[in-house]
Amino acid sequence: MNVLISLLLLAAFVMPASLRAEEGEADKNKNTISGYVKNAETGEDLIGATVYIDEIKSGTVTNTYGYYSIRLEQGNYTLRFSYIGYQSVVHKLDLKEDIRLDIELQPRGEQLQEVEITADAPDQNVKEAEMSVIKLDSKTIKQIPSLMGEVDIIKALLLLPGVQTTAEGSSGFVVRGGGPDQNLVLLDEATVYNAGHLLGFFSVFNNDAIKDVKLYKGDIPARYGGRLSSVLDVRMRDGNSKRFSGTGGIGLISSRLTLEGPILKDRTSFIVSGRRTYADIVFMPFASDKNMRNNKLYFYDLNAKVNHIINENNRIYLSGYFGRDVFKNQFAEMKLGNQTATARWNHLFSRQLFSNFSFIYSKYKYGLGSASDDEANSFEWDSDLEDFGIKGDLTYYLNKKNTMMFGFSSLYHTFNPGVARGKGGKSLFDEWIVPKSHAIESAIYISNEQKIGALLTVKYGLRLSTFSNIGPGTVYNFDENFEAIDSTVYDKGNIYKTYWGIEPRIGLNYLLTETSSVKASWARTKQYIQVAQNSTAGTPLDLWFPASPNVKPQVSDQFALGYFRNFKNNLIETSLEGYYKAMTNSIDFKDHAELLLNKKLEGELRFGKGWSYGVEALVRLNGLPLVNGRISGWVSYTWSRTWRKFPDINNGNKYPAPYDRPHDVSIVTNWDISPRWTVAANWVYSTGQPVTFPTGRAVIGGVILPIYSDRNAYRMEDYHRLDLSVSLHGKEKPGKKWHHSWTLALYNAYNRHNTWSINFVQEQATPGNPNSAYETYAEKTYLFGIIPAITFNFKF
Amino acid sequence: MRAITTYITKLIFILSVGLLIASCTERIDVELDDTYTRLVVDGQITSDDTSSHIIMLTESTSYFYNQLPPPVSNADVQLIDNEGNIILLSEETPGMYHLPEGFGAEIGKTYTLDIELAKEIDGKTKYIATSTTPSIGDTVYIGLQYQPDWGKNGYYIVQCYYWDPPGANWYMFNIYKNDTLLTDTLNKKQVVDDRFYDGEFTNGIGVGYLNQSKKSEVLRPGDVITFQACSVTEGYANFIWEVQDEVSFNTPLFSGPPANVIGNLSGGAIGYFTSYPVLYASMVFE
Repeated sequence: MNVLISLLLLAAFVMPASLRAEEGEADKNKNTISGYVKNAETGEDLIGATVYIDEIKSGTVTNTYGYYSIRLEQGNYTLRFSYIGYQSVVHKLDLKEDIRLDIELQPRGEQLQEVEITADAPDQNVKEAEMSVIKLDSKTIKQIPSLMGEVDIIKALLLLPGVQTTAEGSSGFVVRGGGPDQNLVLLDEATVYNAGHLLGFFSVFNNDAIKDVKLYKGDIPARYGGRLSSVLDVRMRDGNSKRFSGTGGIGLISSRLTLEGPILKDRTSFIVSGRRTYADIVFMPFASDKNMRNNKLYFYDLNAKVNHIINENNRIYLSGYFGRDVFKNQFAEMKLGNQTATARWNHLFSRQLFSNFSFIYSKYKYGLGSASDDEANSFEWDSDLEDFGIKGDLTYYLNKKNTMMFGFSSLYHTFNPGVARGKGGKSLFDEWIVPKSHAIESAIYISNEQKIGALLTVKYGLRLSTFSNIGPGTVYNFDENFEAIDSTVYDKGNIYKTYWGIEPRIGLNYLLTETSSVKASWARTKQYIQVAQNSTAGTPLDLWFPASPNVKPQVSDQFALGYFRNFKNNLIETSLEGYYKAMTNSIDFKDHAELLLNKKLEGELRFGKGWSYGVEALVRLNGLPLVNGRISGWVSYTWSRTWRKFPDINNGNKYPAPYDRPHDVSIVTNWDISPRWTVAANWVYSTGQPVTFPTGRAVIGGVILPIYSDRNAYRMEDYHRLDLSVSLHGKEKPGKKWHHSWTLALYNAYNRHNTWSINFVQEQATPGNPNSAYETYAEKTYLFGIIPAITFNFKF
Repeated sequence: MRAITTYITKLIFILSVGLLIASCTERIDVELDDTYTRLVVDGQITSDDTSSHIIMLTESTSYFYNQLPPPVSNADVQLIDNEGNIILLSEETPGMYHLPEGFGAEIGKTYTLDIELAKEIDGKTKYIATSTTPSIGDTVYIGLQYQPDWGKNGYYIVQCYYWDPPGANWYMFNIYKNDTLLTDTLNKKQVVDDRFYDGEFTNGIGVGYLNQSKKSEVLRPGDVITFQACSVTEGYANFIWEVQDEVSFNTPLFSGPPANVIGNLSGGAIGYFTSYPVLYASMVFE
């Protein structure tokens, strides 16, 4: 393995030299234009803004910190800076020496809507080599009608092709047939292990504090790793560095407030954003059942960030998230929460070499216990997962043809599956401890994006990942029937198992015309930690467990091919992508598995393979003129299948994964009818979820015991739903700082009773009818009828 | 462990019901296929020689059969212990095979239930299962504790005081009110393991819960409350837990995929044959 590391390091140093050699002596006459692209109103960096140079008919985009750099022959150039939703800026310059050019783009605000906007929308989707990517900004997310008026990033992603929900209302999502634990969710580089609040009905991301959301469904860049299916990269806002301002909203079940502003103008800014639900305070006191009145049911979260520009070449960011959920009723209480913290340092080694170093902390914990502590059965149970990590990512803007990225990451995981113990003086329970385990997950990577001729761009990269279990730890040894035979105890610091693997990532883009391209990619990904969870929607009781001597890392290979075409100056983007994904060392669980507080959890695991394939079509409108306003949104259709095959499950026959939903349609529209009125609608349709139904019964001990079909042999009825919203914005006057709007939303507007679960219920026995106790019927549970919501939003 | 996780799952379920207060249910029609017919065996033998011991044989049916299951008659059913003693069971009503009065299972003995059907089911006529009677402690004592915060009118917790013998043990509890079995179906039985109090005194642990808003469970002065503690095998405890999983309300949030419950009978029959010792404790409610 050391040889490989050396090779990669060697490549990191040799590649630039050889790539540079390609251009030979010419480099002497070249200079670099570099800088940051920012939002003119807030001073925040814009991620993925396009820098297009007319003379070379090519360009670059800003990175996740808003930085761009391009090296060109000396001469006169016209640079066009554009970003969706912003007015483009054209800058002419004479390149004779290295130029630092920071650009501010003006958002197309409400008052600017009368202005005819002729600038092109960016055409990255066609020109960039990356495919299978979804980008959403917080404005788009905000305009989508939402459940109870709670704007939600994950719910917005679910409306895009290739992304499916695990169950109605859930924050779990499934990307191209991978499990919900196969998505790497990052908030400012820190892993978010459970992205749901209130059993998943709301996601942990507070849209007011979010700048940019990017989901990689495949073609995952070499700088990311650790999950098989996707990366959700969420970036928090930096805070307004120009003036103090605030945003907030008051809704039916929650309120939120964000404050931001400069500490040192244009150098240091902060943002603090908080949310609290109050359904329990508002509704519970009126509950008919007196015991419910004392119930607690809420969550709150807080995002905070400070950044400081030290000088032209150095900048630091400190960001954190803290969220907590509390439920309590007369029987039990549950508390759960996520914490993340990131300290980052952006450093420019030169105008061509950008770097970011991050120190990361992340924790997910939960606790469950009986509500009272004066009974024999009183107990409490705590579990958590904690990460400390360091990451370094460097981008070398070698020349106009090559952009290299390389770096490293290392995370130290501590898994605490659970400690259960008695609570209070009367409890009988002894302590039951499932021992902690520890592991280090590290990687180094290198990749290059190379333009070959005017039409072809190739991206290639290698990621070398390793995973080591570190003592203290106890490992059970299992026989072929998965029964524990004995166990081995490892001392502190003892590295008792190491896995490693090479993950190649390759992609190419061939421009067919100025407005169309074909792209192809292959990405291998490895996953070393996963969740022990066998319910379809997922509980908050996520139990992450690592690869180990008994559990091999999961591996996925995904191949994708796509056609991209834009119309009407990029105001209409279309794409068609097909993919095939093969997964090995996949994990499922034996029938009636015991996942919680089980010291021998690994004996409950079964190993097999999975595969999925599909075609995704998307038509996206970027503010197409319609009557007096503009319409944005998209129409997407996905056809996909996803299968599993495990020797020890379903008699070894293949079965559809629980989230196999062949047809999936989303229509999302947002129409600014006038400067004051906006209407939005979305409609979703998907094939019903696969389910296992009884095909027979046995009567035992007075209960009717089902005899089941093959796994997932049946389907629930199809799912479809329409959501509507209308927003009225307050009157705008020039120079007015206070803006407000009212949004009225209808979730499930035509009141469809979409199935959440199906149960087979035994009829209550009626006296005098001996057969009555043997009657059963099927009953569906649906969560939501039509749900109206009203929200008041403000900004100053 | 299973007990604690079952308990945890129940707690979460109770919590989530609070959350899902807006959820609604409605009856739906589903068309189900029919699987092949299996023999269903339902029967236990206990150390209590004052009660009758019955092994019931029926056939499995289509899921919406909605009547008493068809009995399996005219089978030769016998119980053989590890000393070679053979006891014949007599079919007194169709499908109900009785052991002789006064029979009681003995601790440490292994019993084999041997069934020879008159007509084959699923291609077979011979079905066999065995069970060894586990041991149990000497005595149990009963207590009652009122928990006013639970439910509308509070609950009475039936408490058990017992010295758990060292080593892994599994217990099933039945609750009687005035000789009426309240835990009359498998899903109502309380099954626990001794993981959290192995070898210790169970100082009043709850083994039954009487909902004072439910007519059949309301206690009035003079009522006699009895619990039966059964020391069951690990296999039988697992069987009951799995049955309870499969017949309880399932939600996408907490339920694993539905799975067939495998019993201990040969030949693919459904059900469980087991033998266990029992202890009783009673008190009069004042």
